[in-house]
This record gives sequence, C-alpha cells and structure tokens, in this order.
Amino acid sequence: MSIQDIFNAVNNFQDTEIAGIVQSEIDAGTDVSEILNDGLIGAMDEVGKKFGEGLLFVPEMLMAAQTMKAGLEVVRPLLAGTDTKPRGTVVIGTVKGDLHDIGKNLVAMMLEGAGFTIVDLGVDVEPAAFLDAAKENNAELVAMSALLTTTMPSMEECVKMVKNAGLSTKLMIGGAPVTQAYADKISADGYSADAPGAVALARNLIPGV
Amino acid sequence: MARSRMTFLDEKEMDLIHTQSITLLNEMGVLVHSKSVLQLLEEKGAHVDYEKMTATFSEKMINSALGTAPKEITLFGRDPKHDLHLPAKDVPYSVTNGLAVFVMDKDTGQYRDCDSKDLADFMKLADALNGIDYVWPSLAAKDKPPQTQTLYELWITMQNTSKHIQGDAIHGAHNAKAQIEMASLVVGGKEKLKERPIFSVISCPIAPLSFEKGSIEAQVELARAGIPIASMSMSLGGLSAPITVAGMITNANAENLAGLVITQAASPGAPHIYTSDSTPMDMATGNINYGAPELSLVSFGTAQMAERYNLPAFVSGFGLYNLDYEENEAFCKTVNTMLTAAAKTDIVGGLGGIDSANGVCFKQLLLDAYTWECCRDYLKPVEISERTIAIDAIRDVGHGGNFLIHKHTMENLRKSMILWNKERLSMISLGKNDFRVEAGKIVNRLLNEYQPLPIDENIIRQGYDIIKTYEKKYAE
Repeated sequence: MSIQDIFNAVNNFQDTEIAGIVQSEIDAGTDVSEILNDGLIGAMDEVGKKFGEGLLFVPEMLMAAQTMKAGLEVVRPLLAGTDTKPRGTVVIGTVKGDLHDIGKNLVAMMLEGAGFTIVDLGVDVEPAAFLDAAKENNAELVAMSALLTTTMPSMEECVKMVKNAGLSTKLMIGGAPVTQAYADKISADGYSADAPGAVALARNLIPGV
Repeated sequence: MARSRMTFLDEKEMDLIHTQSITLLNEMGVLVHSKSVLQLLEEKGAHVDYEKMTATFSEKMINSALGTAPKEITLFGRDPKHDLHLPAKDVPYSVTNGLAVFVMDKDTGQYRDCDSKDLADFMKLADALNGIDYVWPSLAAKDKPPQTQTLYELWITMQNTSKHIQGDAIHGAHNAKAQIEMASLVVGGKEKLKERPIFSVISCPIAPLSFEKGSIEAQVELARAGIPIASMSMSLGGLSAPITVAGMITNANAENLAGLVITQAASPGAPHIYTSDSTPMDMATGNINYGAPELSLVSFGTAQMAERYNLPAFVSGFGLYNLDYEENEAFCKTVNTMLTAAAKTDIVGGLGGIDSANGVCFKQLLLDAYTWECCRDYLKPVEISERTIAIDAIRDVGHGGNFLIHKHTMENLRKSMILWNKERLSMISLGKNDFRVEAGKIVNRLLNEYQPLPIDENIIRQGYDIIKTYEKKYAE
C-alpha cells in the first residue's frame, strides 16, 4: 500500500475499499498529514481539475467526494493536534415556503466534497432558523436556495437578521429565479448560477481557506 | 392514416414500464404533504401512513382512475374559435413557455427582471400569432405581492388573450378557489365554467413521487370545479429520476398515474392531461438540460404510455432554438426540438422560452411560432388509400408520361403537399442579426396595432376586487 493507492482509490470511486487502504497506510506508520494532503485532498484536487476540463461529470465528482469522505473518517480522529484546519462550516437550506431541494442538495454534496462541514436545515426554513444554526455552529457561511419567486423575500429577511446580529457569517444565495442583481439588492455576499460555481464562491467567501 | 410519429417502445417494453410503475405505486407509493388529500385517498381505497405522509395505491385503484378519466377533453378559449379538442386530430397544439422570471427586453435586448407589463405584452403577442394555439402565463408578475402573483398572472393574461390559458396554482386551495371565481366572472358563472373551462392548471409533483401541499390541495379543488389538470412530471435523469431513459420514463409514468388517481379521487371524470417535462440533468452543472438527446427519447416513451392509457398527452417541447446560439449549436438544438415534437404528443410547449425556460424573448416567440407553422405540417396525418395511391392516374399517364397537369395532381396539390408559407420561410431563413431587426419591427407593430378580444370593464374590475379581497385575507 502507498499514498498513491489512496489517491487512486478516490479517483476510481472505491468508496467501500478506501477505509481499508487508509488504515493499512496508518498501520504502516505513514504520516497522517501526508495521507490527508497527498492522498485524500490531493486526489480531490485532481478530480476537481478533471471536472473543470469536462472529463468527469457531477455524479462522478460526488462519488469521488464520498470516497474521500470515507477515507477521511479513518484519519479524522488522528488529526487533532495537527496543523490541519477545516475548510469551514456552511449552513444550507431551502427558504421558507419552498419545498424544492434538489439544487440545494446538490450544492450541499459538492460543498461537502470540497471539504466544508455542512449543516443542512432542509426545506421550508425560517430566516431565524438560519441565524440560530449559524450561531450554534460558528458557521462561516449561510447558503440559501429558492425555486419560487414568491419565497425569495425570505432571503432578504435572513440577510438582514444575520447582519443585525453582528455576525461575520457570509451569505450566498441561489436558485432558478435568483440573480446576481438580486443578491446585490439584498446585500448578500454572493450568488451562483450552478453548483460548481457555488463551491468556487464558498472558497472565495471563507477567509483563510 | 399514416402518421410520422415516433414509435419507440414495443408492447413488451410498455408492459414493463406499466407494471414497474404499478409496483412503485403499490409498494413505495407517493409522499403527499397534505393530510386532507391523504384522507381523500384513504376514503377512495389507498393505504395511507399518516406518520410518513405516504399513500400507496392498488392496481385496482389505478385502473379505476384510468377508467373514469375522460378520453377526450377540450381546452376552451374565451373566444370559441380558439377551442382545442384533445386528442389533437391532425398536428399537436403549441403553447408558450410559462412563468419565466426574466425577459429579453424587446427594445434594448437587455436580459432583465420582468414585471406585469411584460406579461401583458407577451400574452398579447401570443394572442396575435397564428402559430401559438394557447398560452401559459409566460412571465411571473414579480412586481405584485407574492401571495397574489398567481392571481394577477391569470387576470392579466385573461385580458390579453382569448386563447385558452394554462396556469398554475401552487399556493393552495384558497388560491385555486379565487382563480375559479375570477374565471367564472368571464364566462358567466361556475356552472358555465365547468362546461367551458377557459383555464387549466399545471400541477408539478416533486420527483420522485412527492406532492407538495399547496399544489395538491389546489389540484383537488380545481378537479372538483371541472378545471383540467396537467400533472407535469419533471423527472430529471441523474437528479430526481434514474439516469436511464427507461428510468425517467417510468418515474414520469408513475407520477402521472398517481396524479390521475388524485384527480379522479377528487372528482371522477375530471379532465386530466398526461404531462411530462422530463430530461436529464446537465452532467457538467447539475442544471436541467433541455438540449439532451435523451429528452426526445423520454418524450417518445411517455407519449406512447399516454396513448396506451387513452389520455391526452403533453410531453414535448418546441423551440429553445435560441437566437444567440452559434450556427452549429443551433443546428443540434433544432434537430433535437423537431424530433421531440414528433412524439405522439397532443401538445408541444415552451415556445418563446430561452435560458432553459428561465426567460422569454419576444423575438424568440415570433421565431418559434413561425418555425412551428412551417414544421408542424411534417406531423400531419397522411392518407394512404386507393384514392391517394392513384394507380388510375398512373395508367392514365402511361409509361414515361408526366403528371404535371393531370386531374389528380390538380386535385391534390394543395391538399397533400406541404406548402410552406413563403413569408414565414423567408423570415426564419434570415441570418440571426437580420431576423432580430425584422422581428423587432413585427413585434412592435403587433403590440401597437393588435387588439385582443376585450373583456367588459366591470368584469375586469370585479376580478381585481377578488384579488384585493384575497390579499387582505391571506396577506402574511
């Protein structure tokens, strides 16, 4: 076994085998940071590059992320006390009055694959619930989704609440009727037209990552 | 009559899709976010789990719904000349794109937020165009209060077209009742509306197999009032449905059967259209992919299933040949859209839509309407008979002769040849920049000169009163 095997396992979507491969590497005494950075994160960087080039598609990227996550679970207990910083925490949900969550779920999965910790509030989420979850989880980012134009005002309400509470949490929005202009109007920190864009935006919005 | 419509599934394949749909509805059932609708279904024989909010249907229940569903329905217009009988006898009917949230400004070309004035103008244009048979309210009235947007959309559309209107009622039974009340004003009462429903409603499940509270309670209310329901499955392959063509067709089929069971439970004999807007997701972005080749295949399959069930079908789109596409991309999209229209569908939708139906464009509506007028003739039924085979004419003309001025040629020239409208053809053959210029002139001329069939001012006022009353009662 080697770091390369871990790297390959992620790229080959071996989500059931990777735990064993990672454990073997740990047992062999390989540095945990090396396993994480070169094996797991490095593999996801390669996956991201191939996705950007159109060589991999969304379901494959998510599968790779799931594989990486399975490997990360083995390594995680050993990371305490190392220099490894988490990517950040994102509270995500579909706004009040709206039950459509397929886009939100896709964004959540892709953010998780990119290393963010996700707190998924589900659908029909009150503005106050986003605020409370952001506080409880020290979230760096709140991400809101809407499919219906009639539920979009809830986004504005939430942005006001978070800013009035004095949190440094950023807010990003998305969904078919949402636009950059609307995000600017309600003083949200960002907007993305699709899930890959949301990941790039999250990386930009969360400082120090 | 010979028909150039796609037969994609054979009998065994249709049987399998049907039995697998039954298995899904029998075992997994549907999630219904409404206690009242679950209670209705339980009364009619469904097995309901109130904790999980699910209902499962027996094959008997599904067959009963198929038995009571009308095989023929009419989408009525304010003006009877626009009445549309389903199934469509000759070629499919066309309908505009609906409830877009952006508009390409007809004068500046800016792609911007829309408002109720844009909706009024777009519906007026749709009313003026022969290539458009009926309308969806094409734009959201985003300048109106959220809880009454749907009501404004119906009322503004009603004033600007006398063609049939197919809207939505996602905000629940109260909203549906208000729409019924408003439409009743126009036709002269609720009983008259039941005889001549001048509007129908698209009701979308959330795939896979879920029905949200507002839409489904509205659907029940509307079915009871005789308003046709088009229960539109959006089974997006790889996202909300299996990634395979068979999986998308089956999920859409199961959702349509479930939607039908609900409509018939509310009111046996209520008009219902088998409807699907299913396609794979874009594998690169996760967005809906209206350019996917599989879209055509899913349309072919769902149309055949609707035909099997003797239900009118609305499973195809037309258009989305965006004026901004480069020529090669436009070619692919045009081929795809024409193929999709060749499904055994009674209706093609989406005309005037751009940006994956998120937006509409006035010039696009013109292009789509003109293109449809030319293309729909490919789908006309063709008589294959002794008369049209005409061996007598062949004998007459003799070996090596010609048919130029034979009686048979003269009798059938205009009956059987597809003779494209020269004016339309020359318009759609213009390069895209020239088309934009000419289309702009036509759009502005029509909007300035064309007048839709008016509605009595008192009735218009009463309709707005209903909306104001609703606003006061249900404002948050």
